[in-house]
Amino acid sequence: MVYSRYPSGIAWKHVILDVLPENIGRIIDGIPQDVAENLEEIRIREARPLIIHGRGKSYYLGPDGELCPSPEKAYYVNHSDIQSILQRVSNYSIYAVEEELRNGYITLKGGYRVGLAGKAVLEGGKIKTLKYISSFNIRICREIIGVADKVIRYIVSGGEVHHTLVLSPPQMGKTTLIRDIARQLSDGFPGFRGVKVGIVDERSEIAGCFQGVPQNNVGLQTDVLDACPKVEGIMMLIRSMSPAVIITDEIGKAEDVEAIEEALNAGIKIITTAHGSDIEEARRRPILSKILDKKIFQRIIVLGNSLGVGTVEKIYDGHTLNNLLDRPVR
Amino acid sequence: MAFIKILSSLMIVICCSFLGMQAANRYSLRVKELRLLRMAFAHLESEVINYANFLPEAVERAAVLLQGGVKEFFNDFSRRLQQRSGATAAEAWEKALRSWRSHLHITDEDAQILLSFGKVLGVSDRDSQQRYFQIIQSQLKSQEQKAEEACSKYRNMYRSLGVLGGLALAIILL
Ligand SMILES: Nc1ncnc2c1ncn2[C@@H]1O[C@H](COP(=O)(O)OP(=O)(O)O)[C@@H](O)[C@H]1O
Ligand SMILES: [Mg+2]
Repeated sequence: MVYSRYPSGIAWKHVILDVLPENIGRIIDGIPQDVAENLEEIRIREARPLIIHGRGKSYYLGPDGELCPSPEKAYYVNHSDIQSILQRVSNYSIYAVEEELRNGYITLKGGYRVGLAGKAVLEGGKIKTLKYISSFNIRICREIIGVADKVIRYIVSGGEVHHTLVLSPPQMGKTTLIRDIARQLSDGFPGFRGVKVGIVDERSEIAGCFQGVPQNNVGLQTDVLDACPKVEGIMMLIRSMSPAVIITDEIGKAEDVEAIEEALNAGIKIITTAHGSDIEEARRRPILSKILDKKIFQRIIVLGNSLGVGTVEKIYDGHTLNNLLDRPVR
Repeated sequence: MAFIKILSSLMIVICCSFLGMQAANRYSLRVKELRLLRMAFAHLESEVINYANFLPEAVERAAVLLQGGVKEFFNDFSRRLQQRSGATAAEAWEKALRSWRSHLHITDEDAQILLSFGKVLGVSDRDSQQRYFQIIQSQLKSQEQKAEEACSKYRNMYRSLGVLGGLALAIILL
């Protein structure tokens, strides 16, 4: 692991300050400790005030990192700030991040992600690259070791891993949950010897790979195909790494179904996620309803925020559609 | 008395010849440095275009095969990038060039070419980076030709000028 001179709650500073020009770095370094510990996003937009988000609140930042209630006293980002950040997040190598620009984000060391927006350059109707980049969204994702504790015994029973689908609206903790599921299945826990896990990490969010090496703890026997399209990735893992379980995020395209069936035929367990507030809502989407009708998934976990972000609202048995939970847990 | 006279005229001739030699050497050193620079850019081009290596490491690797002031310049640039001390790569390039300029024997025109290349290095996609690399190499090539011409024209001239000037001075003074 990377040595950090910062305590764990603000370990992000180590990486993030490195990609910011000195003036903005000083502002971010100056934000009060308690806000820094729960920081989720830094928003940097050209000619607009510097904004941070955390714990559902947003603040404008003043020139010394002080929290401003209104934009008047905030620091306004200028063009050279933006240019400098672009150069730094790309490690002074725009030519080496063409793929990332097409996808709209760059992953930093530590698995932190920087989203980018600007003018799209099209080629044959597809995005070729971005130019005139004017906005950055630095996301400070945190792995939460142990979030899967409350669901893992529903996913594993009698030494068998169940095909599992995690459903929730965006930002409710799906990715965070399957990351910890990967770790637990890979490392094992009392009553379960770990198994080989393969992750197809299309958006580099699960493992947060930096130059191919996972920055999040996804387990000792986990192989990650980073930045790889789901369908190709699943096929490749089946052929090359013989995993017992394949974990991937956000399915929903028609071809995803075929890849999943391919994995089932190879005797591999699938753990994945989809958007949807509950089974009923998911059924209204053609692809998801097709998957649900096939009764592939033995467990369907629904996340929500009735007790705060990451609340496990329901865990369905995929065949009977009975809810196995008495009440939501967090 | 005559002995001292002979000795000091000898000294004058030696000093002047040495100065002439130095002036002449500048020309051949410039040719050598331009050639090294062109080699460095060819190497860097392959690191950037073929391997898509990140610039700080690419520059460090390109510096390995270099020597003298050109090597120091490249190493300094790489160090500045790795320490993220410049706001942009262009700034780091300019600072590195300025601090090693006096150790190099290139002309202002050569330096100007290098400076403008620094402004585009790393900041665009692979295709256009490749074009810039081709441009800088052909620019350096033509500078090299000019430098060679100047070298063959002036090297002998400065050498003889040194010796002859020294003799003339000795004769006038004594
Ligand atoms: N159990 C939890 N407790 C606290 N915060 C959580 C929990 N699960 C997720 N989060 C936070 O919620 C945010 C969104 O989580 P994420 O896993 O990205 O959601 P999704 O994948 O559903 O969009 C992240 O900032 C994450 O740190
Ligand atoms: Mg997610």
